[in-house]
Amino acid sequence: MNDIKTGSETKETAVEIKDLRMSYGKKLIQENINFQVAKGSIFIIMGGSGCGKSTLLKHMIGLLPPAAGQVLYGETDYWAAEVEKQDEIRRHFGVLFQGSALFSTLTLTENVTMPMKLNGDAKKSDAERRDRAHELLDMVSLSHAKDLLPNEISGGMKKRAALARALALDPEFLFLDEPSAGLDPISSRKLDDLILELRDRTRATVLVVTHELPSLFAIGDDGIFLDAQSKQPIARGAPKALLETCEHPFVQAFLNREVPDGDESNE
Amino acid sequence: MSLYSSSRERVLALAAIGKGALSRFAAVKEVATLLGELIIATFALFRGRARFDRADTWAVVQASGASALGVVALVNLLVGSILAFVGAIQLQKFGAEMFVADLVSIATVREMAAVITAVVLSGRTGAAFAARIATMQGNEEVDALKTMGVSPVEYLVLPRVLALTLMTPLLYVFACGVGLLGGWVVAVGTLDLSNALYWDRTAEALAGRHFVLGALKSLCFGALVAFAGCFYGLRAGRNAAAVGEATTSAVVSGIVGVIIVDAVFALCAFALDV
Ligand SMILES: Nc1ncnc2c1ncn2[C@@H]1O[C@H](COP(=O)(O)OP(=O)(O)O)[C@@H](O)[C@H]1O
Ligand SMILES: [Mg+2]
Repeated sequence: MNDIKTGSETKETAVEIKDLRMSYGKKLIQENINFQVAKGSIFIIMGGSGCGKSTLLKHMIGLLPPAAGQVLYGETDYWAAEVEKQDEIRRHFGVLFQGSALFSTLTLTENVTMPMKLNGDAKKSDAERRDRAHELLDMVSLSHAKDLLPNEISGGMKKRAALARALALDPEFLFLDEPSAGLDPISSRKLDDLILELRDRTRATVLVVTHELPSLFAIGDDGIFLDAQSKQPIARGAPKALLETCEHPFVQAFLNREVPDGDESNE
Repeated sequence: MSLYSSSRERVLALAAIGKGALSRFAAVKEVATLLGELIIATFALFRGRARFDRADTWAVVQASGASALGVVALVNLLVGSILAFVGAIQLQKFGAEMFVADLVSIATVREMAAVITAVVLSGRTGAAFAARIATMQGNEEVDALKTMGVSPVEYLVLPRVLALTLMTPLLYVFACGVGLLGGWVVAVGTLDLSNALYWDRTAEALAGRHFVLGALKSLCFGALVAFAGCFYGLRAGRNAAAVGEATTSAVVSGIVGVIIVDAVFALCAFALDV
């Protein structure tokens, strides 16, 4: 069985968010976001659709500067750092985008070798890179599809291929945006096991956006719950603990898969 | 009351104009930003530090060069023959038929070959650049590149702009040849002119400066068309309509841009007496 690690066994903070405010133009998405992620833990970002989870990831992976606040990797505030420093921090990221974001003209193998090629793994030969890519594709059970193009495979397979690509550079930080959305329950469970195994093996810090209840209970050491109505986080802690102790009706409804009291919307 | 509402309308109209101007200004800023990044990327390229896919670049070279030959040939052949046809009818009235060769050759080499080729490339290659990059933008592929530490300008824009800038003058030379051929066929076919006389007049009319001007223009047109395609591709939104909108904007602004630059060239050439 997979033991849930509390995240408190390693005290070291891998990344910290301070007073973050996110907005698109004048439209406020979320504010007052504060949290720390312990090194080697699996941190779950929860919340209803459109509350800003993907946007939060974009602020963390250096794609979009926040309206205000800090994203601290170690001592460094990413958005206040020099470009060289930003590049250095980003080199340790592996990202699985919500829409997979595979390069559509490249085969799966080429997609996975791409980060190795682009990030100056000059020591490695093409053959070595290809072997490594095949190894990774094997790990996500895609060895039969390694020479196919992204539009020749299913959505779930794309997710797994994108995960393989995210792992190509042995990242210290793994950002996964809805990794199991669109997967059948068995594949989803396998993916959870894979994430846990990876974390244990590589000691990577994993941030996951997910709606899958079984998944977030199984893998989450810690987490934050963003609320679209109040535009702030409304709960903080491991999903299992939140289920037992959090009194916020929306969080309870979400984690118990119920319609909250007084919700008349059809969303 | 009506006075009030009409002045209010006027204020609203003014506000709309102001807003339009501001958004234009924002667009100018975006263009300048991309141009700046492109220049930096070009320097990186010369220092051997730009990262882009050679295979990808080669595909762009082929798409914007070799496979455009057919349509460039067809269009320029027709434009050359139309010039000869119109010229023949008008010049015949003055008994100046043999000057058809001057008309066709100067118009083709100085203006038509460059402009028509650029227009064709805008509809073909500029549109393809915009569609491709806009699709990548919608798929988060551009974001994925950024997280791999690669500038999309370096990886996607630079090879396209370079390829088209270098291919367009070559296509221009080809277009000149085909255009002159079209003119010759029509002129000799409809008028009482000998081949030798026609080509003599052509050779006499075609000074080197016409070629230089045309080639220089086509170099600029190629860069402009490629830039417009990449620009609208990169700033595309993520909704379903985004790719179509990006393509349309790229083609329209590519063609309008080519005509404007051509006018600027005409003025400069006149001022410099070229
Ligand atoms: N590029 C954008 N421009 C404007 N608004 C956006 C943009 N991207 C997302 N949004 C809006 O921001 C909100 C949060 O989006 P997102 O972070 O994707 O939500 P989630 O991932 O939680 O479903 C949504 O209401 C969405 O409509
Ligand atoms: Mg999302």
